Amino acid sequence: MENFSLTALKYIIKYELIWNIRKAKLYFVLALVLALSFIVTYFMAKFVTGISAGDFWYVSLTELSSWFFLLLIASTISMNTISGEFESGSILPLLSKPISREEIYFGKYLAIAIIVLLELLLLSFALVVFSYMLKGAPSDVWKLGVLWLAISLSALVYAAFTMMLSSISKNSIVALMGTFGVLFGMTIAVGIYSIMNSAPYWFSFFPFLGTDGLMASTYNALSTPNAYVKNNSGLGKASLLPWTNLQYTGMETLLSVIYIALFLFIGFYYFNNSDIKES
Amino acid sequence: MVEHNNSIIKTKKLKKRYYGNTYAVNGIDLEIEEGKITGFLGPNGAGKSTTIKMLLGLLEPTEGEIYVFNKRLTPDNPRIRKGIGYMPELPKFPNYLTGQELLRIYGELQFVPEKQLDKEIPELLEEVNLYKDKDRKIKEYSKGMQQRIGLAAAFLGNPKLIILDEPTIGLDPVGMSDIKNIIKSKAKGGTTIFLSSHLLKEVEEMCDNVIIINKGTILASGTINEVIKKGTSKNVLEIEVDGKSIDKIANSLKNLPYVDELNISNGIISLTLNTKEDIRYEVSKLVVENGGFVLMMKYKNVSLEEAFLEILNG
Repeated sequence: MENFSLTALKYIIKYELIWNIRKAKLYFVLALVLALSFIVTYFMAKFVTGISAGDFWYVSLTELSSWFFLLLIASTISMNTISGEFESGSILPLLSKPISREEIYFGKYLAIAIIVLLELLLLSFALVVFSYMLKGAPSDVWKLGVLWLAISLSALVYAAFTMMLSSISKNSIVALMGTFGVLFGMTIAVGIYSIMNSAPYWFSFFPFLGTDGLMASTYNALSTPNAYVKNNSGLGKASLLPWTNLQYTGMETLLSVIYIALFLFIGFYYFNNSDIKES
Repeated sequence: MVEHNNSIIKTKKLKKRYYGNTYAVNGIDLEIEEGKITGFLGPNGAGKSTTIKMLLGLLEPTEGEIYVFNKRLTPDNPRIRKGIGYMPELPKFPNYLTGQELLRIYGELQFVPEKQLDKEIPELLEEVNLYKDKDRKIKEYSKGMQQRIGLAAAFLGNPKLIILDEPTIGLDPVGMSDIKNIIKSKAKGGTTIFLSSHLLKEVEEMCDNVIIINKGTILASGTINEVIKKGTSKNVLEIEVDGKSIDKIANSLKNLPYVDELNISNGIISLTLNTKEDIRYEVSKLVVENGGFVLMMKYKNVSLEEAFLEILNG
C-alpha cells in the first residue's frame, strides 16, 4: 500500500514522541498520579483489613484503573494530539509532507500508546516496590504482566476516545472535558438506573463505566478475587456473569480492542475530512 | 493561457466552493513552467492560498483536475509531494524544536535519506544565515528567522518544485532582501519556484512569469513583459523640449490624430496616445518645425504594479 509505510509511521511516531516528552504536563501528571497512588496505598496498608500480604501489591495496582487516573494518564496526553496541531497552525506544514493522513493519525496514536504503556509500566513498578516496602514479599508476580496489560488496554480506550474528540472538535480543552463529561455522564446515568433496577451484566461492556469494564473481570480471572476486589470491580458482579471468568475477560479484552478501533476510525474520519482553509 | 510543453503543474477547470455558492477558485487553468520562477499575484482574498492548498492536496477541489509532475493529484497519492517543498504564509512550526531538529524531522518526513540530511542541514542553515542559531528553539526565533527556517525547510531534499506562499510577508526591508536573495540563488540551480505574493515590486524583481488572479479567476498570465503589455492600454510618450517655444510645440502636438491627451509638467510634455505604433520620428520633426529642440524623448515605462491595477480594474 503506497499510502501506508512503516518508514512513514516511524517518522510520525518520532515526531509525536519528541513533542510529548518535551511537555512539562507529562511529568506533572506522572508525579501527581505517583504521589496520589502512594498516599492511597499507604492508607490502604494501614487501615484496610482482609488483604493478604502476598496479594497487597496487586490490590494497590487496581488504583491505577480508576477513571481519574486513566483520564490523567491517557487523556491529558492525547487531548492535543490532533487539535494541538490545528491550534498552533503546525498542521499546515505537517500535511504538506508526502505522508498520508492515515500515517499521521495512526502514527500519532501509536506514539501516544508507547507513552501510556511506558508511564503505566513505571507507575506499576513503583507501586509494586512501595507495596513490598509496606507489606513484604508479593505472591504471584506473574499477575503483574496481566494487570499491566489490562490497565493499559483500559487507558488506550481513553486515549482513543479523547483523540477522537480532539479530531472532531479541533480543540484540546473540549477533548479533555468532553471525555470527562461522557464518562461522568455515563457513570451517573448507569448509577441511577442501577438504583432503580438491577444493572444487567452487559452494562459492564460499556466503556468508561467505573473501571471501563475490562479491569473488573480481569481481577476475577486472576483466580483469587477477595472481598476488596469484588467490592471495587464496578458493575462486574460475579453473580451476574453468565460466563467463566476467563471467557468474560476474553470478551472484555475483545471489546476494548473494538472500542479502540471504533474511536480511532471515527476520529480518523473527521481528521481525513478536515479542510485546511486559511492559515 | 500560455501553453507550455514543460509544465510542472497543470490544472484544468479547477474550482473550490466554500460556502453555498461562493467560489474561492472558479475554474482556473494554470500552468507552471519548469525551471522558472512564476509569480502568483492577486489582492487579498483573490484565491491564491486556496489554489496553493489544492495544488498540495491539502484542500480537495470541488471540481477540476490537478496534474503535478504529469501525474494526477488525488488524495491517495501523497508521495507525489516528495518532489515539492512548501513554505506556508507566516509558517507555524512545532516551537519546542530547535532549528536544526526541525530540519531533521521535516527532512525525514520528506523521505530525504539520513546521509543527505547530514550534509544538507548545515548547508541550508548557512544559506539562510541561521547556523549560529541552530540550537535555539523555534519559539525563540524572531518572525524573520522563522520565515528563513521555513525557507530552509522548503528546500530540504532539493525538491523539483518549491511553492512559497507570501514568503516576505511581515518582514522589514532587510529581511525581505535576504529572502529574495535566497530564492533567487535557489532558482539559479534550476529549481522551479511558484511564488504567491501581493507585493508587485517583489514579483517584478524576481519572477520570469506571472499569473494574475482575482475573485478566483485568472485575469492574465505570461512573462512579465507580456503581462505588462496586456495591462497597458495607454501608450505614453514623454518629451523634453527646449523651453522657449514649448506652448507652440504643445499646440501643434495636440493636433496630431493619435494624441488623446496632452499634459505638461516640469517642462516635460506627456502625450497619451491611442496607437502603439512608434511615432517618435514624426514628433521630433514637428518639434523642430516649431522652432524647438528635442532634449529627451521616450515611451514611459509601465510597471507591473500599474499593469496589475489596470488588469484588475478591467
